[in-house]
Amino acid sequence: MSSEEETQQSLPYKVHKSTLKWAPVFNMTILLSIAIISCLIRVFSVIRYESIIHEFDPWFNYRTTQYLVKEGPYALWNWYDSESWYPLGRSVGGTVYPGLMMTSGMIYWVLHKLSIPIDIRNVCVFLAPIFSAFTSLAAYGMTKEITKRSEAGLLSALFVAIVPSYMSRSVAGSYDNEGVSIFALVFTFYTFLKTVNTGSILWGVYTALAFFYMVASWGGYAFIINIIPIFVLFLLITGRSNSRIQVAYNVFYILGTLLAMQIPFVGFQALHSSEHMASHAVFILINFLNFFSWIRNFVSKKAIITLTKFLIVFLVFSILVGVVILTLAGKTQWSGRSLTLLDPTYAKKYIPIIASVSEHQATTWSSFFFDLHYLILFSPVGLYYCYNKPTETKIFGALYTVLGVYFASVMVRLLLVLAPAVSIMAGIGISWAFRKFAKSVRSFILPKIEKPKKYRIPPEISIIGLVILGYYCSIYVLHANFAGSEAYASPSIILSSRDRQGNRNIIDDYREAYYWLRMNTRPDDKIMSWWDYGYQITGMSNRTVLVDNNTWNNTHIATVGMAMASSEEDAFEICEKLDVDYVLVIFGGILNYSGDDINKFLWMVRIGGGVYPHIKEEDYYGKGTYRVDQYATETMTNSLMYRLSYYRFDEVQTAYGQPKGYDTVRQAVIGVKGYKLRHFEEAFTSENWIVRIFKRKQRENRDGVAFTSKSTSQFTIPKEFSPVTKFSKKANTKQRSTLNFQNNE
Amino acid sequence: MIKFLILILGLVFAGTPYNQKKVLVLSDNPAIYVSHSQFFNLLSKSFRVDYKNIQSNTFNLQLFGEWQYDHLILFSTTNDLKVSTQELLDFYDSGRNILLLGSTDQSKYFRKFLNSFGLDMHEYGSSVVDYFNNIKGNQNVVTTSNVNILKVDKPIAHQGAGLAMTPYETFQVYGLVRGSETAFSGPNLSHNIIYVGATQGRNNARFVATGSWEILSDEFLNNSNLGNFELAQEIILWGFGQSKILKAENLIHRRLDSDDIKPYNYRLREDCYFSIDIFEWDYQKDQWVPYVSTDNDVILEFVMLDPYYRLPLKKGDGAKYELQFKIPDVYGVFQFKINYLKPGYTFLKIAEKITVRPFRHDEYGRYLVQAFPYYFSSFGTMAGFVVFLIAFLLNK
Repeated sequence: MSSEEETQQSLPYKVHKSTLKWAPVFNMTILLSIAIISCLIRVFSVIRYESIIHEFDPWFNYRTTQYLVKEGPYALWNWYDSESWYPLGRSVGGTVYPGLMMTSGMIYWVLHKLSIPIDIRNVCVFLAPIFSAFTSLAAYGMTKEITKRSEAGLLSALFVAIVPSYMSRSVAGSYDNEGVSIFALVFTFYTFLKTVNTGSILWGVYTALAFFYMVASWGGYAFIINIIPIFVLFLLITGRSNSRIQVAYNVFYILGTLLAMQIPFVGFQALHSSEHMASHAVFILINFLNFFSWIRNFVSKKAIITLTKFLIVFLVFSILVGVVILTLAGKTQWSGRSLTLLDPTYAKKYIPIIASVSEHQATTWSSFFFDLHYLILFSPVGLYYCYNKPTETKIFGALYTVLGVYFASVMVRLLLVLAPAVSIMAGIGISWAFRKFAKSVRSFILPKIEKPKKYRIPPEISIIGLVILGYYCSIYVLHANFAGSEAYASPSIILSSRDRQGNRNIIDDYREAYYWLRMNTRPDDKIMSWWDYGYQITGMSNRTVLVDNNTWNNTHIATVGMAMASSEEDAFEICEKLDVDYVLVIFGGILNYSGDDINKFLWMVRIGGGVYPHIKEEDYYGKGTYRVDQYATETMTNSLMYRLSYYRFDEVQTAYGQPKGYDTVRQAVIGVKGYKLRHFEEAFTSENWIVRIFKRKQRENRDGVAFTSKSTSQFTIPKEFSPVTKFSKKANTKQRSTLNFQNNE
Repeated sequence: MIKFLILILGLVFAGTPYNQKKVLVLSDNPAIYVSHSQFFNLLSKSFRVDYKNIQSNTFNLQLFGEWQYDHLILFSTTNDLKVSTQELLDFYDSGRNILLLGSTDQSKYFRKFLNSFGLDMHEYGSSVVDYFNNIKGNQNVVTTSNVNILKVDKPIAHQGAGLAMTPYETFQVYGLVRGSETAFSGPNLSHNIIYVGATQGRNNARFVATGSWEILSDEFLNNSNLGNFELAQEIILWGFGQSKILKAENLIHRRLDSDDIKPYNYRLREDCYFSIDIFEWDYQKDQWVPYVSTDNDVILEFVMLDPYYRLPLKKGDGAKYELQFKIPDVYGVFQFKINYLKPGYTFLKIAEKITVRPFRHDEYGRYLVQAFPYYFSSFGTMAGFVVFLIAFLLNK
């Protein structure tokens, strides 16, 4: 005994004992630090640039939030925005997920009640980092529900907090729905798993409330409303269902669906859209089975078997028939984006507007690795752990990961949904490995406490394993740090470049141009641009746009695409019909900025051609490829986009050793030089030519006509008249001309 | 002393019609002042007229960026001019009027000039021939009664070249005086000849061209059997912007049951009232008088991309044209549009933008009759649940 007491008094045992004593404190401290880190790593963008709203969609959210703060929630609900989608307008209140705006509005009001006069912009900018802290807390809770272990929870929380995929959508300034809804997603899962573990109706209600917040903030809620039924169905099939599952699902389904219907944008879609069908079916099934097992108490065994067979066939059949009938009758519909998820080639075939968005492309391996890094290597370990000794919650975690991998492979943006799953799985896996290694080391140092086991890893290997795992984790942390400080810090409306001395140059063309629009155009002027810049123009210039990033009306976007793809004369007619005052194009030929409109032009042609068949993609290919040099087709060089982008471009020298008019992005000398514009005039070109704005001229005072012959004696009857417009010699005769006088040859 | 001088000056200028419009006559042929004395007399009754040689340097159309004249009369057959076509076109495009007297040997310069108005002159040296409608059997002095827009009752005599116009008539180019059915011209026999053509620009400036200068000569003007005198009067009135001038003002739109003029927006399916005052210039009374359209042809369009309504405005009191209608069941940015392009009259192009918004959340009907089964069922379920609970809890 005394020797044992002695060993108990020795240093390693003391350390072990006091560590155990202080473990909860460590736990909380580490969790708090993780939360703080997750905030801080996202603030790089503000330090490197400034406190500004990023990219495209955040500008709309920001504008809506401003409106909310100024006019109040009812006004937002009824907001009919006549400044976008001219002349259709957009009923914002019914087509927006208000969760994000309400959240920041709430924060704003609370802070102002506390006499903290914060600007709404700063609330918006820093909202996503703050919510990422909550996300890491929720991930801690969720992992703990899965494994019942805090160390796994801590690792998961750390991984979620800095996973680059999530960071890309939640850096300071990235004021987008995903910023708050990833928290809502993880939190909903946490509460759901808690309900599954406890069987408590109260936690079920919390799940529904968390789900409500998710529905309010992001269309990605469809993921939850599908994965939970799939999970329940999986349990039913594998015979793991029990009363806790029933409680959890029924409470979640009934309250969740009712609450989802309260969001105007969702409304009755919660009942009849295809995304919700699975939840209805599983609800019917689980209650039916419950009812059936109750009946079993009263019926003989033989009758039960026939009854079971009959009822199962009947049920499956009726659900199938119901879904088919509803789908055929058009009562329920798959949205294009959902169909793309089921059939990844769908959008490419039928909906170019979805396929044109870069974040809707299929995910490449490189972006998988960049956004998730070593987590994808470790998450299979966690999956193995989950499948090894499955419980309901572990099955859920595994299902979530597997489904997430599928969706993330279809669309880049859904990596975001996968990121928490992978982080949690990797956290579980690594903590499991850590635990195994640590046990072996512990049994070596503290042989009295850890009972020796037969299959235990030798301590030498354990130490090596610990070092390697630690190394990989720190590499991951370094990578995440790089992603947060460099890759995802750019606001994309401010660009930066480094010169040879390594100095950073800020390229601020976007804001320069938007500010010009704001100060130099009339308040009710309409700006035509490709839809990517719609939100920014309304947000920063406060001017009316024709189309914006809320791509709800394909025809209207196609009309703009047609205008850009048509010849100047035809484009003028379209612009006049749409009351366009200015045309804005993005041009990167001087600065080698590849995200410009000429590179996006093929999508304009495709989307325009989808609605207006006279626009054909092949007309824009010179010698089989898309090009702007002297081999470009006449249709291409006559198009408004080409004419506006390259207007007077042949007067500048862009690259050393190249002739004037050398496009640095396409690496070619432009095909048409020295042309003049007839219906448009250059109004503004930003410093680096990135943004070019052209004003539509008024229609000419007279319709002059050049007669082909000086002798009018040939003009006997109108049929034989062959006058041509003064300018049609230049114009491509293949193109549709809406002018009064056509070439009759 | 200075005050006195100003007073004197004021008296002097008060006597002269200072704000009379100024006409510049540019010609290289002084003979026209003799042969067209009647026409120039008519002109000088209502205008201050300057006569300049088109080939000289003695005139300035524009001085320090200000146009010096309101109207211009051109008569020349030369190519060698001191004024460029572009300057003449700029003069016109600035909202001023031009009268061009043609001639059979019209120069290339003026032929091109005509072309930029959508008109063209017949071949060099060609002249109109009519074996049926002519004066005293002379087939070269042709007559016609085919007059549009202008008010001339008697036949009009014409001698010399004809004009042609764009084959598809635009709303801007008119044949004021057209040849009769039997008139023809040139070696290839072209019909559809115009003796006096006109173009009204989008800025409402008017351009009148005659095929030949003889049509306004004293010889025809003095002949009381012919309508050339009336034609000259009408050309001066119409061409120099005195007759058929319209203006629209006092555009009002409001909800039918409200006096709030030009509200910020409308809700769909609201009743809307629209009115506008249209005046015509009366050169005799020297004031604006209500314009009365006989054809019920002032059309109001309610447009969002496409017209949702296209309704004739009703004539109200005075100059008022009004209409009430129901806003369609579509929301968007609509425009009240009037596109009044009556030939000969000032173009009225009016567009007023308004927003039509959807229903607010509290504007939908409550407690609809057809929804009563649903109300009943939901309240029934709630009541049934309570009853069931009580029964369940009390029956142990």
